[in-house]
Amino acid sequence: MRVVVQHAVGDPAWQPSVLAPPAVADFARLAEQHGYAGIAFTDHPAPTVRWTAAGGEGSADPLVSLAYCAAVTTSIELMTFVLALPYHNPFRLAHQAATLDALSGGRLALGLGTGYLRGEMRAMGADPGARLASFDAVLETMLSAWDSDSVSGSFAAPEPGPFSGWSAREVHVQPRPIQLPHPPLWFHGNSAFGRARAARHGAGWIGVLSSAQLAATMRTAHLPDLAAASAAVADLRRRCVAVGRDPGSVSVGLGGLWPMVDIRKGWDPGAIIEAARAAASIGVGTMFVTVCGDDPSAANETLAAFGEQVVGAVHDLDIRDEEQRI
Amino acid sequence: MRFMYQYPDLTGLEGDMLDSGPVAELARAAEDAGWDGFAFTEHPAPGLRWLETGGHQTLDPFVALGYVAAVTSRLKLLTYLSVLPYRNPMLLAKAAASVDILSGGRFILGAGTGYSKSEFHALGVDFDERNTLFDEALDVLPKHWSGEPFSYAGQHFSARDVIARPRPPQQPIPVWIGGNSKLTRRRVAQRANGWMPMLGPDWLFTTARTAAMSAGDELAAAIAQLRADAGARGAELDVSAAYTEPSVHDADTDWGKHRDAITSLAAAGVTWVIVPGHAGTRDSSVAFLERFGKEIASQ
Repeated sequence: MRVVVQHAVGDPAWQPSVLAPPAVADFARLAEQHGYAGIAFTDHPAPTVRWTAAGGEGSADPLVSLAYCAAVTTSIELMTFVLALPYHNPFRLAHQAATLDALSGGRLALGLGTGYLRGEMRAMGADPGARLASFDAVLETMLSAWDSDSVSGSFAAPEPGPFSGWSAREVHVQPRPIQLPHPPLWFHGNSAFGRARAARHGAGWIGVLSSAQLAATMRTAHLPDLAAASAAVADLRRRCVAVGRDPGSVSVGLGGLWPMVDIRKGWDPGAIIEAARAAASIGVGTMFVTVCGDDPSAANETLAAFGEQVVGAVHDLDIRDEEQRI
Repeated sequence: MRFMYQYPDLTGLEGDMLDSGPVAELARAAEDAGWDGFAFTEHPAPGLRWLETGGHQTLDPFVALGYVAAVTSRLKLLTYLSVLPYRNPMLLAKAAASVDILSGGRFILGAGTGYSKSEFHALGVDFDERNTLFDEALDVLPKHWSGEPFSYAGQHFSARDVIARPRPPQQPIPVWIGGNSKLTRRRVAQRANGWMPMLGPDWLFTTARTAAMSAGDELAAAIAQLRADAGARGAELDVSAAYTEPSVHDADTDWGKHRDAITSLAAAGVTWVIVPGHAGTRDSSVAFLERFGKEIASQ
């Protein structure tokens, strides 16, 4: 089982000191040294005051931050967790992703979502009512931009704004990503929408166990426990078969099963490893963990200790054979 | 005078943008050799036709500068230049703030209004509105960087009760604006921190000394006027000039000639010289960085 750590800025109680350059460099190096498969940053360019005050996470630009981490590491995967596609133009995003993939020697993984904060979406010039259509249009155009010498096409949002559509004629996006035809795509979201895209285009699908309230905030389906997650995984496998893909070729990632970890509060390694074993038994191959972000020393000590106690211990867990699940 | 190296652009479709050398290695070589800054251009969605007829490949400058931030400690990091209307100003502000945070306050936002119609179309932006969009971006950037709640209602862009944290260390991040128009110079005088005039090599760097002097006088007059128009801020404004004399890249070049040219730029009021790298190999790039550093940048 792989463990991907979200950078400490993802703690709602984050402090700016966790983003000081030496702290970020140490965090990235420690994650690599302690066997984490990946390091992840989220995408919140313009969150609302209300959401931020109500416990919204902190953020730095994910592609810029991952580029910084790329320069101080050599093997760890660099993951967006996740990019809200309706905020982005497909050509620029394809170009940024290819740049990062090239600079990192092919270590980028793109976690993708639809976004859910209406206020932020409006500030980004995206139409909240068209987020699903916009997600598909950005995705399809990015795939073409990575895959072809040139790409033409257009997208008109129902409520056109200056940044919400495009009309391209023979646009050529370069550099080419190192990973061909493109960096692995992970689709985030508990709803069938995300699983359908993962089945068609994904290297992975990411589910998040949530309270009913969190699911409502995130405008996604409620996934209360591993039983519900198991049903979602089964649905993902069926969808893979339906589009002619090997059901085992789409990895399953899970967030929200492990609590946010903090070395000052401690954790029960036995319970954490047992939860991972249960997740592995339903086919989860990648676990996401968030570490405390109110103090850089605590964040980095947490990262190292959790790495020693848990990351190595879950590395060799058997992930349930996907063939049994069809 | 301070010296900025621009990572080499690669013209056309053949070859790879990174053929001129690993970015980390070139950035470290520049810092070690006494350069003061590192820059990247921006073309996120170039048209095939433009690339086939002299256009150039690029890396995304914000991603690339985030990478350079991790391997340097002193170099200023410049987008040279970023076309502001190419994306929503919130996204621009967040990327800029993140580079500034991760570099400990070394970022400079080099900004332009853009000129490529086809790239505007591909990015979903109305070319004819680029000046309004540019001004709205200049309005929004400092609000976003302040870390305080704000709302904004522009002609093309609006936001209600949003907040962006963490704040970048520089308050605000310096903005240098490129271009020679009166509008550009007025913007710089009123609300930017630097001017990046576009100087043609034939205009400025001809071997005939008189021509260079006369060009220098023209530039000097424009800079003096800009500083006067900016009032109390005038003395603090940075002015950059691209140094595009091709012979500077020759191993056996006459360094005296380049020192003279740079001395006249300084006399005209230029504070930064930007030297675009020549596309080549890792070895040729590092050798140039070291030669120029030894002969000029570290002097």
